[in-house]
Amino acid sequence: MNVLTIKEKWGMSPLILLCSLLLLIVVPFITRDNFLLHVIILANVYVVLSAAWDICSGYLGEVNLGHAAFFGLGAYTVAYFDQWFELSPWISTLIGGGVACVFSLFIGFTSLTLKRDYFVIVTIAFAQILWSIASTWSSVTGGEEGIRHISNFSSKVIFNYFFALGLMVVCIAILYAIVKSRLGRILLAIHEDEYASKAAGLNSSFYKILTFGISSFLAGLIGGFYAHYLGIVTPESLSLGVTFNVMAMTFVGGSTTIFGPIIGAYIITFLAQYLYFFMDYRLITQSLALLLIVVFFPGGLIRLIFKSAYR
Amino acid sequence: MLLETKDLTKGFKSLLAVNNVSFNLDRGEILGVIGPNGAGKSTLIDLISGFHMPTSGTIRFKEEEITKLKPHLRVRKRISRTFQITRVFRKLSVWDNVSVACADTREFEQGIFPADSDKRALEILRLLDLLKLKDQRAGSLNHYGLRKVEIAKALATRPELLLLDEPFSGLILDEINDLMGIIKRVHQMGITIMIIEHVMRALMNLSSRVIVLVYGEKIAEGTPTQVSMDEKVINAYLGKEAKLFARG
Repeated sequence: MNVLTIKEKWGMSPLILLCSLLLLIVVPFITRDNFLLHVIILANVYVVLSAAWDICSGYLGEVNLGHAAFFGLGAYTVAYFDQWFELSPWISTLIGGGVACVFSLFIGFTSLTLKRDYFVIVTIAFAQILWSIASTWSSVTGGEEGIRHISNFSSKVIFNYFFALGLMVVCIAILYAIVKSRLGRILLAIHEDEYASKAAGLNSSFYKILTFGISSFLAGLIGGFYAHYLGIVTPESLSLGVTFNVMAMTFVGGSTTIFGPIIGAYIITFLAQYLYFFMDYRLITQSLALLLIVVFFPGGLIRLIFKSAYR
Repeated sequence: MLLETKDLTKGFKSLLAVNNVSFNLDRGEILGVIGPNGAGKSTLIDLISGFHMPTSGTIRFKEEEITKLKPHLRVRKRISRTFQITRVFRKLSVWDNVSVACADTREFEQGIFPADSDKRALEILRLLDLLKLKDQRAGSLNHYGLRKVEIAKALATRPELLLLDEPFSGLILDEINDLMGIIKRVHQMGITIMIIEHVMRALMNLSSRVIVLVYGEKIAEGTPTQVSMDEKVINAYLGKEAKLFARG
């Protein structure tokens, strides 16, 4: 493989990114279609969720099958704080991220120091436990009905739109800064050969728990925003479906890229929302599309746009 | 004394890979460890670097007991190792391989990257003649290149004791000579070295002292010439090659 210069490596990507961002900023001023804005907000939520998953499962290589748990933890935390303490949405959203992070650190301490397989099992079990609690313990969690009437940041769609967009840009910027720093190289090194990373003096457990914590914090944060935006949380947000959606988005866009999940999240969210008349066949078509992409573009769609696979 | 092992024993189920091995290593030495396949040489390095825990016995480094310390903590105490089958991060560039190993995790945990790490990485790459290849993916290098990156990674952690696990295996003559030069230069930088090796000639030339392991036990210790004339060693391992050395 040849050595790539910066220009070959990056090509047009900064320009494309900037243009897309401008487009997203302009959209609410040229359309009154509230449904479109709603879909974009949802897409942005999923972008953050998928990119956060990508840093833990793509870069670090620790497959987290309980990502929904941290998303849902953020959402439920926000719901409780909103009902009991009537906190400002800003603070409760941050607390949502914090709670998700604390739980992830606990899980990380117990399972990330073990071999990779255990982490997968523990995360999926954790998510399923939370999901069953949320859907059956009605007196505390509201059961299948969930918790309603959570206060909004603002009732204006345009405010929520720009807030979600801003949140997405900030989260992506943070994640991108991490993976481009030396820390990102360390994560890739641990992913490739943990034994060798120890010989290089790296405390691999520390880095794994740190990354898992960051990933879960962002998931909880965006979960908190999601709860405030929709005004309701249901056990649905803790379900395995959310995690699998996030995985599908990451793989469609291209894992271990941070920017890949943006593409994947937008494509899948738009398809899911605009093909609602297709609802009965949605899972079949979506799975088929995912299968085709994994078979024909194993690196994800991002590698079609930005030719060389960058890391 | 830099390193001191006492009655070091490691058993895998019914097999004793290392059996009651005691030896000392002084600062500034190059210690060679030889022995036939399966003699427990690599296990010895695994024990000293912390990748295996000994069944019994103690290891002391700089007058401090490190027998139960985890591998990355031993690296912080300044013991580094290479692997016999190179464990280079093949997906990263050569530069990133070295710079990742330069990250001093203790400083990082306090939120500070070591300020001199880039300079250090450059020096190491220059020493190993890898500067031209620094932006290449490590996976694209040839066998000798990988071996050098492996050593560069170990050096990046600023070792006082460097454990080399068969650094010459699979190399051609020119490369062996080149690597011997590099090891001598590393030694001149004040790093104590312990080499495990099959290639006898290289070891006889480099090391100031040699210990011989057979079936996990230390059967001889001394200067290269002493060892190569030792009757027990010749019978157990060296055979004709050593007699040639003794003569030549």
